Amino acid sequence: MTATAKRTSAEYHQRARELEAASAERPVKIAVLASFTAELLKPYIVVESADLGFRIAPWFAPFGQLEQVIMDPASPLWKGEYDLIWIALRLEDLDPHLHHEHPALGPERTTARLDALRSRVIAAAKAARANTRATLLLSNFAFSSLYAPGVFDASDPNGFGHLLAATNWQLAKDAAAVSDTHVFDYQGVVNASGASGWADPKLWYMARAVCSAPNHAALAQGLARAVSALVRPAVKCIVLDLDNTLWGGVLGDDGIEGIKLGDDYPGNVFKEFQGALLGLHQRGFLLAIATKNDEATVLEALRSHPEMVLREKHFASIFANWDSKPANLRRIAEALNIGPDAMLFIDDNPVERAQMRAELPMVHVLELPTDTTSYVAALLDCSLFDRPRLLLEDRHRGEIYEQSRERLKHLESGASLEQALRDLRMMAQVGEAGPQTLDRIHQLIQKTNQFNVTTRRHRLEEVRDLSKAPDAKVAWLRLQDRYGAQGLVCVGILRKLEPHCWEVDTFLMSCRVGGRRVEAAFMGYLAELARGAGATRLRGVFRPTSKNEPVRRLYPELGFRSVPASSKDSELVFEIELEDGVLPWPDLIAREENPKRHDA
Amino acid sequence: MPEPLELRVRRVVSSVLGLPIEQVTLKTSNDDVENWDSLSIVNLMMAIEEEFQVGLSPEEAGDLLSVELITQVLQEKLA
Repeated sequence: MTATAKRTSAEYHQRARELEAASAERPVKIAVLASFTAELLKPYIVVESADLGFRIAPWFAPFGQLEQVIMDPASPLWKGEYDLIWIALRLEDLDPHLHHEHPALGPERTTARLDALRSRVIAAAKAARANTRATLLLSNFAFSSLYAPGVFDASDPNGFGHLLAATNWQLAKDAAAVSDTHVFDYQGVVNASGASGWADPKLWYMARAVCSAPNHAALAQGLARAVSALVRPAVKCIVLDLDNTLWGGVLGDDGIEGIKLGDDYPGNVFKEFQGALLGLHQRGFLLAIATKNDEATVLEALRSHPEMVLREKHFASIFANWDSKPANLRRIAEALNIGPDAMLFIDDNPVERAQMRAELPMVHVLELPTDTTSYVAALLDCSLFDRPRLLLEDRHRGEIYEQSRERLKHLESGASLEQALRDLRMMAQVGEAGPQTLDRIHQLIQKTNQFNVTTRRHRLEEVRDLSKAPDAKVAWLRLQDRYGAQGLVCVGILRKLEPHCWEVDTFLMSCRVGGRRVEAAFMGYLAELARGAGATRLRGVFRPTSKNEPVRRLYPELGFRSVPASSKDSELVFEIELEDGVLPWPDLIAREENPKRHDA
Repeated sequence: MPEPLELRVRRVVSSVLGLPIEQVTLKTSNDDVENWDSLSIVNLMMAIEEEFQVGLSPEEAGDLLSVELITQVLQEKLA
């Protein structure tokens, strides 16, 4: 992020209008409640979100009205069906003299004033949460150049900077206690852009502008990244070239001893790049290789080079051959069962990147700089890795795929499929959603494309409400087998249609457990839940999308009969009578009862 | 030959206010453009300062009410 705008102000206005006129897809609707003139950000937000590949349509509450807008049930805030509400209060707007008064006030009274501001933000968030399922984003507090602390402020343990940092820390803790509520790192954006040039006093005094004209772009970019991370799926897999990407030089020409990788330039550039990729791997991004190289040499280099940070086990898929990169990327997508639109391609060669863009335009391509010393910065600045939080499943994803290669070898070992599945010794645990599982359930609802019969992207708050509603049930399944735990892989939501008929609102499964009868087990569990709630009939709907063709026949294959669809032509409707013995739990999956009804 | 000042001003006004360039004349002013409001004046100020590499005082910003006035302010600034 830089303070230098990519476009002039006039160009932002022009481009924003073009985007607003042209865009067909539904934008992410956000409401902005600010203590400054946030409307000035509008064209920047529209353009910066488009640069990240989506569109934000902002609405601005009247300046300085926070509680009024939130507390009034008739306010436009509650009519707009916003996906996200940004509460952007600034210290310098709401308590402008605190910084000047701090030395005389002393730490206790200064902290009390900061606490009042933080409490106001949290109270507003809680009041909003009671009214909306929208994601909430709360700005933290920053210094701007107008309010820069004194030279020895940092030397004083009670200096203003330290008290402000403590306030921001407490804000983060308070926000974490309100569901689907996150801190927007306003302070981070200010610092990244340069606190000394952040504000333009003239624009502030004249118009209550949040910052200088060029910094409007930086703030909008920071906001667009945060919104993107909150409402859009992250990439799942990073596909890497090797020569001059993961190491310096050409393996085929230079040999394993000749490639550049180590603790001194130029090898240290590549070693750190690998370290950054390992960090991403540990955060749940899969790594794969698509390289024009001899496979045996590549494996030898990954196994034996003493300075190699990334080893064979870190890669979910390796394709080393002389085929085109798009062809190999397709193979990786197929092997890992993920869509090309969830993949990021990294290659130092601009010709390869251009070919990828031309043949597979949905694949994300990192614009790797020619200067290798900027590799790490280019990688870490990529917004596609932004995520609001890391779930347990993310941390273990790499291992899970590692196990799955073992499992695949097992399933291909020659025994009958039935026997091979038995030998996996699968064990499933099922239960209803509770506080421990909601985040993962929501994550799967957001990102599962293929094995998803309705693709209803419920928000976190909706799922929470459904999990507590008397006429709905939210259920999950966890799977493990002899190769390890796969985590929570199935999500189902049931809703009561009539006293004796319940409908499967959502039925989805992570593709990594496909082909193992897990779906039959989970449908059996949902049928039990429906029966337990008094249902005698279960209804299922298939809503086709561009990606869920694999589950078109799921219901008939499980024994449901087709019934005429009522409203929408493309929807397929199925029903089954919940008589004894229908939808049996497959005996090749052992079942572990969840001891508690809720997993809290 | 560099582009005349008035044409450059018309371009900025056109971009910021969302008017087709051919509809923006020397006489175009806040009287006949509905969204030429106080917010637009700040937007115009930001865009003009950047386009012409000048700093406008808040008082000068108050004069950003027509293409003609903007051109006059800039002529004085750039003279």
